[in-house]
Amino acid sequence: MTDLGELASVTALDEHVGAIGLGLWESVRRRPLFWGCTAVLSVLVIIAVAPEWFAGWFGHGDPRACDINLFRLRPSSGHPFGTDTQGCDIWANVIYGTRASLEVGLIATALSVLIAVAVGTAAGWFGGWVDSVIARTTDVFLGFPFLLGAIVVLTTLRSRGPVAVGITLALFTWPTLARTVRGSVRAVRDTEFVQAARLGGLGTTRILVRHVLPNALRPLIALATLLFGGVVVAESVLTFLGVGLQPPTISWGQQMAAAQARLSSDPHLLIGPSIFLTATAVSLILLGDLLGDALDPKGRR
Amino acid sequence: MGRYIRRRLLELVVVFFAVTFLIHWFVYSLPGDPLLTLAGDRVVAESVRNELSHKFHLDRGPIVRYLYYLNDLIHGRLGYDLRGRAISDRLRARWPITLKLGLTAWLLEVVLGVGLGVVAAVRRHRLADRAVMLGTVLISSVPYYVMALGAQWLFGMRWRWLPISGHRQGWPTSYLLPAFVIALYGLAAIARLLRGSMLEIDDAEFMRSLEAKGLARGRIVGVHMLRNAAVPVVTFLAVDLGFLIGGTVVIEGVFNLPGVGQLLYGALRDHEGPTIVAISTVLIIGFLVTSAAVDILNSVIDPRIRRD
Repeated sequence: MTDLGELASVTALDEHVGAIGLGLWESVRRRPLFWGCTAVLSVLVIIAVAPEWFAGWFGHGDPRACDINLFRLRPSSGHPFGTDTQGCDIWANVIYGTRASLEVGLIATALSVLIAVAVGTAAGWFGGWVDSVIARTTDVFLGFPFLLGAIVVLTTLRSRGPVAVGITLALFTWPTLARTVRGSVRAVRDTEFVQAARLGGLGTTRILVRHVLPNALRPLIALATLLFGGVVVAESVLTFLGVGLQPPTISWGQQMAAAQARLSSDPHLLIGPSIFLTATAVSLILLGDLLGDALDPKGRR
Repeated sequence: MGRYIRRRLLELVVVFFAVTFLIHWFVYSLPGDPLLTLAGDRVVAESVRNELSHKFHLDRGPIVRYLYYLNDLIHGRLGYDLRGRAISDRLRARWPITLKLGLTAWLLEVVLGVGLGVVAAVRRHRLADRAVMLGTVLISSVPYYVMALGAQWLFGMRWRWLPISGHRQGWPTSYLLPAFVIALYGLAAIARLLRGSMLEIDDAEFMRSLEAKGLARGRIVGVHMLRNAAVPVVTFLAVDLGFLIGGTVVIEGVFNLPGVGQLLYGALRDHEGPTIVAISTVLIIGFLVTSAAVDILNSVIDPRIRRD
């Protein structure tokens, strides 16, 4: 955290809000790993937006059109990942499952970031009792191990779609981000350029939006990317356990739960969904890691 | 010293009340009949419902209800499942299995994680370091159950090295594979953390003087660097205990080890609401107490923490 003020004062010389990206872009654009992750994620996003373009590639585009006579086929032409216990094409189901995973990830991450920025900025900027109240609240939510907390809340919900699961996960992920925002807002608050802006007669809102937030949000970029990956994994674990997404939502977690009972005779049931799930999580987490390295001036050596 | 411990214990008490209140509020005080919600799609007989209503104190007001719940919790009574059996009785025989699994995993991750972290730090920016760094990111991106199913398939079915179900062969044989899967995640984090803090210490002034003094590299790394780099790792080990316990739910379920986690796993599959809530609560409280204990332990090891 000590380097943050230093980092902040350098970038803040640029008056634009776009200063968030300054330097970051320069240091990541030469890393092949960055482009690899971005490419994988872009493909996944396109799949999530328009699964119908991809599902039919091998001739069986409808995930719900199943032929019970063709159950548990090994990977073969027309069924690159085989068929499942009901005779549905696994490729089509995996393709349609992408949307739910990314949706939950996006909802949880966006909500978490929103709460964290609001709460963390308030705590860091105002200090005093506001800070204490917020600190105690984050303590309480950090007291829940992530998965167990989500299990308790989700058990009490009767229907669980991507929105419900996303909101539940956000409930337990915002405190870590809020602490980071609080720390960086505090560090920026006492810098000379913020004092200068105050003396110059700028209003609090203007100082916060133009000078404090752009700097405080920098470390959040890496964390939010990591969080996105973590949430995708957590959702699939919860769904696998039976408290996450429910039908009619098509999801990787459900496909894996169904595959588990058949592991000894038909391990191929597991391959399709686990490749997609792992590729999503790995690219997000590698990307987050890379951004974190780029944002940390020590890592640039 | 005493002041820090008092403050941390007070914090524990406050968080304990807040967490139990939140759980209780979520489960038993939101609109609708909590018992019906907890039962999900299961049919619960009217007589059972009335009896459970009484047992869960649902015929009382919300505050009284919470106080009853708290009193039960403090006395180790965890309520009853949908068939009216006491949940704490069902848990008793299962604790040793979960503890054995958790501690085995903990041991594995400390040994392997510290080993890999030291190798990565000493060979910084070389092949071994890059392999450890990339490998650990890859590991932590694969969900628990995918790793567990993959390990079962590879080590249990393909190579037939280790049993993949039950605990008939006792400790350690039956526990090795599940413990290893859990440990993989912890060791990835430990290796990265240790590498990071060792590299930071490598830049410190006192390292220059140790070198100037002519101390052997092995001694510098083994004694001075490792000891100073250990604090964040010790902190992590405590926090990790929570994740570890969360992980036993999936792992005991997949490997069919009859521990506490497996009961929760089964309850999740059967929509056994009261059991799910009771076990999660116990595990969450366990996590709260361990993190407080480790914070206090840490403040004994490293006096700087107390000034915070």
